[in-house]
Amino acid sequence: MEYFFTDEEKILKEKVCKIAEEMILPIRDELDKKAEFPREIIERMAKEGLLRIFIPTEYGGTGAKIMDMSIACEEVARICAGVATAYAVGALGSGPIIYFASEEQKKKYLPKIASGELFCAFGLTEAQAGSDVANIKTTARKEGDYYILNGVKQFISNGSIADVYVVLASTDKSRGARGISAFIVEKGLAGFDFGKHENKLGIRTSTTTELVFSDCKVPKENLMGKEGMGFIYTMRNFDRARPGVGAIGLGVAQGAYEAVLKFTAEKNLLGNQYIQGKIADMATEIEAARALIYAAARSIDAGIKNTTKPASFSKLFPSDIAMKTTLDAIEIMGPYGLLREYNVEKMLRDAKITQIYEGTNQIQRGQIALEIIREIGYKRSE
Amino acid sequence: MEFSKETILLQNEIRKFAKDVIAEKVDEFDKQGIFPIENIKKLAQMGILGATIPESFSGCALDTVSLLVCLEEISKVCPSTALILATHNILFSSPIAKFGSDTQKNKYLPSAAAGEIIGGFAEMATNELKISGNLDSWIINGKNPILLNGVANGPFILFAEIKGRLNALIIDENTPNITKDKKDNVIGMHASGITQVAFDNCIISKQNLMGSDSNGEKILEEIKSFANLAFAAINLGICQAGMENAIKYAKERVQFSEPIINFGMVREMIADMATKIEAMRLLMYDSANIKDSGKDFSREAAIVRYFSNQGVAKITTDAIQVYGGYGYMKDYPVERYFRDAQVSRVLCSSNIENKELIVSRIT
Repeated sequence: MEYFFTDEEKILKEKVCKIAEEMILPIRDELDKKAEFPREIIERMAKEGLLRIFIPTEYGGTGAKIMDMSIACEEVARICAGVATAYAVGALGSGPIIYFASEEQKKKYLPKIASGELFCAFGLTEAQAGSDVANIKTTARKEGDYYILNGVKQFISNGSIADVYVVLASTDKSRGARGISAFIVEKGLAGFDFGKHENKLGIRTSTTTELVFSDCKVPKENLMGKEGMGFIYTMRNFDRARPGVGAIGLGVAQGAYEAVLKFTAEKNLLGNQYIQGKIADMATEIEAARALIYAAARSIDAGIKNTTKPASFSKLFPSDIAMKTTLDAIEIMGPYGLLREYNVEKMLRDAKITQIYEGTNQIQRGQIALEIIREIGYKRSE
Repeated sequence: MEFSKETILLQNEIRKFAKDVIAEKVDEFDKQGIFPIENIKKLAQMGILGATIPESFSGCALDTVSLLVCLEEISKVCPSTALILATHNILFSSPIAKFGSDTQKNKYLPSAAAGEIIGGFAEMATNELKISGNLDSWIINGKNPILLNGVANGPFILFAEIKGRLNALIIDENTPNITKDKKDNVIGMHASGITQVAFDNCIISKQNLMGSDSNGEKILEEIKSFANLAFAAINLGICQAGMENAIKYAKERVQFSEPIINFGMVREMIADMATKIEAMRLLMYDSANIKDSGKDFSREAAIVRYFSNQGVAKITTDAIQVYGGYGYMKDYPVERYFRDAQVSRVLCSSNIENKELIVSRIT
């Protein structure tokens, strides 16, 4: 379908596609098997300027457009959602810095994130705070010129790999969500370590670890924005990040769809109406997911005020389609679909995370429903 | 579903064995791809490896309901072990018992019942073979990436199209010019010992043809229908275990100051699981009863396979969803059930074939 890409968007799409096919495709199976971080690929992507798309122009980026991010995430995930996750998080971690950090912090970090010199991660989730984000137990106690951080962050993408971490911690337990603050923590700081390295079903090349803070002294100038605003920053950042997460799901679905087309053509199955029906559904749903992501991304980029609902749409639907398409791919390819060399089994394993991370799809449904309820002015009668 | 006294006794025995013995190393065997030979030997002592073999050949000729009960119970704990048993009993021994010559029955069945040999089966959909030959023997070249029970090094059944006719061949374990290798190439059922099998100018004598004449189509049809029930039982066990794990976790996991089992969107998933499982179980044992009564059960078997294939895909996906991020980690069993489910929902016959079979029987 025609999406009326700008020239810049077309160039970006082609460039990412080329890098993904040239660099990631030949080694994606090995990356998955070894579950090793794709360092060389990320370095090459940085060199090609692909990390700049996440950063505003005044800090060495190309404008931090959600549309660019969506295009890039889809193209990378079409080949490997693990690399796409490492890539997206590496820059998405910078989201809160872009929008909520001080000028000084922005100048210090953003140009280096744009160039790939510094790589990011976002430390929010904890063992008892998954969907219930506000339930975090990590504390930041103010002591003179420092905040003392204590606690453990769980399932952190790019943990131990990233140089810069945006970390959420409670500065005032009595205030609950309103007592959560955001900090920029650099790797190497005393009292900041990495714990368990997770062994996952999919996106295995993306590194997932615990962040462990034990009396970690973070300089007070590393507080981002205001104390107590961390939860709000996080929610607003989610709104911006969701089309990118949806685009990872979309890329997986697209990859699986292409694999199915290739397989069914080679096995001479395309005359079969059962297969035709499945392929038509896949193509339709993938295109619908893409249109939804682009519409959400363009709305956010245009500065439309409340984008919570389109953002959740753009994560919920494409990730469900990723799951459906990959499950159907296995069904169509039959026992061949189970085999590594046909790649759809990896895509299926990768697809599953897109329904979970960056807010489970149940959380997305809840958000969408709440927005709708608010829009119609519904109040529950007792 | 009401079972006979004997079936309930067997169910309790197998359930206990699965819980006390199989469960112990299920995680280790999956992660390291270890074939659970000791457990299989113990199951042989319990008679389970002779389930489809007549007493005259030292088997115990279990009724289909009881056999599916065993597969369901074992699959709940270890789908790989259930796949090993389904392959041996239903894909290997059963067709020999029904279609094999007396020589073949004497050669394979008593040792299969005793567990001295563990029979295998080459997945038909992935056969990539070139066959030439004369009146007395065939020469096979090519490979199949999915040989079930390949690691066990027993004889296996291979379906081969020879001069436009489908033939069921029994290939002996030490036939020259056959190589097997385990490549950890399959998404799930890592403990079930799936290997690749390659034939390099492998000469197969016509004595290896199952039965007296090459009635491969008929044999295959029978195998597929019985296999549909077996894979439905494996699917059902996986679904039941997925649901039980999801419920247990949802009751323990507290978010927003409440166990997540209290939340409607979680309850929705659990209710859907329970409904599918109940329907699957009723359909499956009903089909098994039809088979045990000696009637044609192929339509019912195709329906339950198709239905349970859809169910197992949805339920294992949702079981991970209930666990959230934890479900995606290899520390929790729902990750393994999800991978194993993919294998049990595509082997031996496809949804398309089964839909075709269903329609052909009702129109």
